[in-house]
Amino acid sequence: MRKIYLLNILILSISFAFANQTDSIWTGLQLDEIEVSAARLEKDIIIPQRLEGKQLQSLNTLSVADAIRYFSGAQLKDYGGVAGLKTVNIRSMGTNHIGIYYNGIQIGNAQNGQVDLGKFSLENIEQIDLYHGQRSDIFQSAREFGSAGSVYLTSRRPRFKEGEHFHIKAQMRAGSFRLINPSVLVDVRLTEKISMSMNAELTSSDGKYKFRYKRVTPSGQTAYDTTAVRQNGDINAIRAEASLNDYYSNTGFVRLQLYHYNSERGVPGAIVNNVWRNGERLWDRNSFVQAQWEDEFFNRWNIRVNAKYANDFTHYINYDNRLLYVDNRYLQQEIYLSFANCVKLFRFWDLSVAYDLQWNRLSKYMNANRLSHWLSLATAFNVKNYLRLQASVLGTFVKDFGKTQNGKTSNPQAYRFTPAVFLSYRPTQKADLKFNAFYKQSYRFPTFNDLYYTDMGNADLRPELAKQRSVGLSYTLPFCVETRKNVKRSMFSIQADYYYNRIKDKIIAYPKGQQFRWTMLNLGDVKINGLDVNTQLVFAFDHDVTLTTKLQYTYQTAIDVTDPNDVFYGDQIPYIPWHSGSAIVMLSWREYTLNYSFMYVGERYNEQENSRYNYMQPWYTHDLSVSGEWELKRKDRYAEREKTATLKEQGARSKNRYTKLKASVDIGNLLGQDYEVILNYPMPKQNVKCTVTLTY
Amino acid sequence: MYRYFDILSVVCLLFLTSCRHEVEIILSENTPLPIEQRSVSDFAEGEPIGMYLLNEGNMGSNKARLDYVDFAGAQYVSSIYTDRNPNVVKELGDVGNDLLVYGSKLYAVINCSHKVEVMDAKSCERLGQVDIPNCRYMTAYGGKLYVSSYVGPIGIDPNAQQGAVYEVDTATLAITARVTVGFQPEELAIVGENLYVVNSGGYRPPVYDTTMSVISLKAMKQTKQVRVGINPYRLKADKYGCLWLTTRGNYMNEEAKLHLFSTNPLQEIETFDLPVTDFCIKGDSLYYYAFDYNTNKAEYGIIDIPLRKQVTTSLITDGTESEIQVPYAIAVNPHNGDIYLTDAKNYVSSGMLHCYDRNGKRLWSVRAGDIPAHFAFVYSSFLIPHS
Repeated sequence: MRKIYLLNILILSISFAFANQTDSIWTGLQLDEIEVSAARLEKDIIIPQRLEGKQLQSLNTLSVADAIRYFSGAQLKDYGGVAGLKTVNIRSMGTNHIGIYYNGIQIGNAQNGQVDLGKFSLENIEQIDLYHGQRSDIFQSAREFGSAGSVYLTSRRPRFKEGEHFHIKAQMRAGSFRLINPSVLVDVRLTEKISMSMNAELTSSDGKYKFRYKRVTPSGQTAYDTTAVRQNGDINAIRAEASLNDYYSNTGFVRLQLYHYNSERGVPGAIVNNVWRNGERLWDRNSFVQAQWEDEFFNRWNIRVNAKYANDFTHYINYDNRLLYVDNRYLQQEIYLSFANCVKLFRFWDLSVAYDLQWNRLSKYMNANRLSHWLSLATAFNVKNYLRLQASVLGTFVKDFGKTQNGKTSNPQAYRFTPAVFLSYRPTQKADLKFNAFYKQSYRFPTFNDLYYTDMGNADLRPELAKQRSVGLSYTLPFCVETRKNVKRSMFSIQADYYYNRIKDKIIAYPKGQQFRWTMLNLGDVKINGLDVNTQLVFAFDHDVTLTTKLQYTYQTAIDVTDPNDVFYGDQIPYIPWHSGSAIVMLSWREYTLNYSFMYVGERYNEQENSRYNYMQPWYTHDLSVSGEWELKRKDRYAEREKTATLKEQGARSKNRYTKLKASVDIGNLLGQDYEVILNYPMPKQNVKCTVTLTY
Repeated sequence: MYRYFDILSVVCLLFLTSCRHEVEIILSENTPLPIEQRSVSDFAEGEPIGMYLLNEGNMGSNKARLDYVDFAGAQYVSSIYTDRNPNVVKELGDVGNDLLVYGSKLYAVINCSHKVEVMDAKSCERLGQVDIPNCRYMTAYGGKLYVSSYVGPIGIDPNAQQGAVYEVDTATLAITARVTVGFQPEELAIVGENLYVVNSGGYRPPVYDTTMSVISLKAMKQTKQVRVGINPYRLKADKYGCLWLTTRGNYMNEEAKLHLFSTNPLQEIETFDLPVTDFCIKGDSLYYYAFDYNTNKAEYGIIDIPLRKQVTTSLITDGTESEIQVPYAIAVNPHNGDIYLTDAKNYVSSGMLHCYDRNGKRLWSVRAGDIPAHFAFVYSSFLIPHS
């Protein structure tokens, strides 16, 4: 007994050591998983923010977008409902500076540079990481060095215990707004090393939710109070994924992945006086196939090869016969190849070189082609585990081919070199206290829309520059609490960062007169100062009760410093709150979990000018979820034998699986706050989701 | 542990102090103007006692805002519509596109709210609304309001969305007739028994419309469609029964121009190679500004109507025109000849209203709403004097 106890301590202390390196909440990892994550994480000299496992499941979220709201420094633009566009902005630099990576390969949109995170279901996602600057691991593809901030989505990887050959998971979710969301997942172990995973999901919702506009006069009398139902926010989407994994050795693996997403949705539009519904429809089809191969040679040379082909089709119709009739189709194609190398020169010195090539094509409504090359050179030093340093330089070469809408031939080409330096200093090995800092430059290249969109495009645009400087510290303290029965291990951690970002040559739409004529200009200069604080606490009690809390807070100023003659000079840029934060409290007892989460976004303005006409009130929501998991025992003739079985036999049998049933109820916006994230796009009030999952 | 709870309490405190309150509507704010305060009874007949200014606001923002320049009280009253009509759901609406005082009523075309808002001209209190889809501009005559709209017959070829002119009875606010015209009709003018409307074809670049429709007011039928130039926009009648109109060109090889048409017979009698953006007529003078959106340079001038000649190209004489970023609207006080010019700045922040005397010296400036764009004068007798 004593032995087991000691082993437990050992396992837990190891897991602490590695949990320290992540921003995730420690949930009692298995030893074998620790080893896996350890090898990977030690290269991240700056700790990412992470959501994974049980906590990710307890957040009452359908899409990746909702989960990202819980990261500090991240602002989500949400147009409301299941179908509404959701994009993320990190540290106020703008959506186009952010790279979204799905299993290590970037999801692109050469047309407008924005990735709708609402399209990415959490169903098959195991882990979400957010990195400020870049992933501070020099072994990465060249393109990864190019984002000013990165979100990594990692899909579930099939894991089999001894003797297992397949898993099946079937899930049914239903809830408010006639949400129906069934999904099924099958994992098959083909050989000892090769496994396959298939996953399909359907999402359907009529998007009809009640929203309320209540306004009062300054004297407190009700000016008006009206409730209406959101129209044309319906969605029907199907997602299917398949992956083939071959972990052929301790160091190498090959992964092939297929992804297909198809949806039809309404675009609900702005609610303005006398207009309560709009008629736009949108069809999206996103398909990609991606492959990765990674291995290590001579114990010091790592190679990773990534390849991807993506085919995205968009069809947009405006049915509203009062407005300009629009029926546009866009086809985007992307071919991406990446070759990354990392060589361990000495025990303390790594060197990496990576080259990426990408071809983008936009056809149908517009025609544009782009060939991009990225070449990166990076190095990492580790001075006796006290000081770790990474430096990288990235060359980006972009060349466009083709004709603009009005027939002008244009082939703007641009190349830029961008450096980045990352530092981490751990003054003592006795305590887990680290200081870190980074400086990074990155460019956002103009998108096809910026350059070539009818009339609006401006082929003379320069890339937009983001300069980031950040300093921070992190501290993790594992501690023990003595209870009546035994000693319980708990932990506390805090991470704080201060950053100063500067955006230059910001690409903005600028009016070119009446008659819907706008143009894109390199006009805009923004200074961003911010502070991010993350804390977490895991507290273990008697009777298998664990309390996990996570608090996150961001303060930022993002000031327009373009032209002192502008009335908005020195004002906070649109939709950036000064204060924002979230809190998650999770109480778990055995297989039961109660999760409460709170989200706060402070006051902000919806235009450049910080006037009372553009003021937006803070909003905050409370979400609650309860879940339980049960093993369904078969009532068969073995049941009798079970009673008389020895302890050892029982232990052996427990390895044999039962069907597991998991059920959860989630309530979103518990107090039913009427709020808007984007002006005139009302958000849903209380909403409920029920989920039943069967796994075998 | 203690530190943890410290942070927790700080965060809690922060949330408590920055809670959401009930959302307030924004009532009027009065800004004093450096002009003499006078009693309304001191105003001469035909001298405006005030002027409404409609700020367009950006599409989708629902920020159309009506302001009032009170010549008697010597103040600028912002957001007067919301102030007088606090109970209207979602306020005035989305994109104010035209403003008119006719009889005792004030009419405002709210383009993206698909309505014409009708108010009492003196009190600004709401009297009702007329639902007209994608309405653009209006004019009035003989107890009827005529409103141009991009939406004509529905269910036809989506590549040929014809527009219409709606006739509204100003007493009952009912739509009494609808006439199909050309593509995307804009400004209208009335001369004699005919209504003229220019068709821009703004939804169809680069194949813009080039015509002006002639509608017989008696029959409420389009009698003619004549070619006037590519992408016509502004249209105003002078006191000699002639029509002044602008064509915006195609923004490529066809330049913007100002044209003069006689109505009897209907033909072009003069073309000015002036890229006039907007103009207004007072007596024998046509006040215009021409703004080049490529060079961001503006010209402000006067054309003598009987002489058909430019008499000045420097309407503003004190050098303050350099402070105007994007001129967006012009009006002239029919009594004292004061000139009002608005500046839309970058279109997404609040603009300015400037007032100059008849000699082009700036008298005062005041901050307006987003895209200040349309004027309407108010008289104590509620009668519009002949121009």
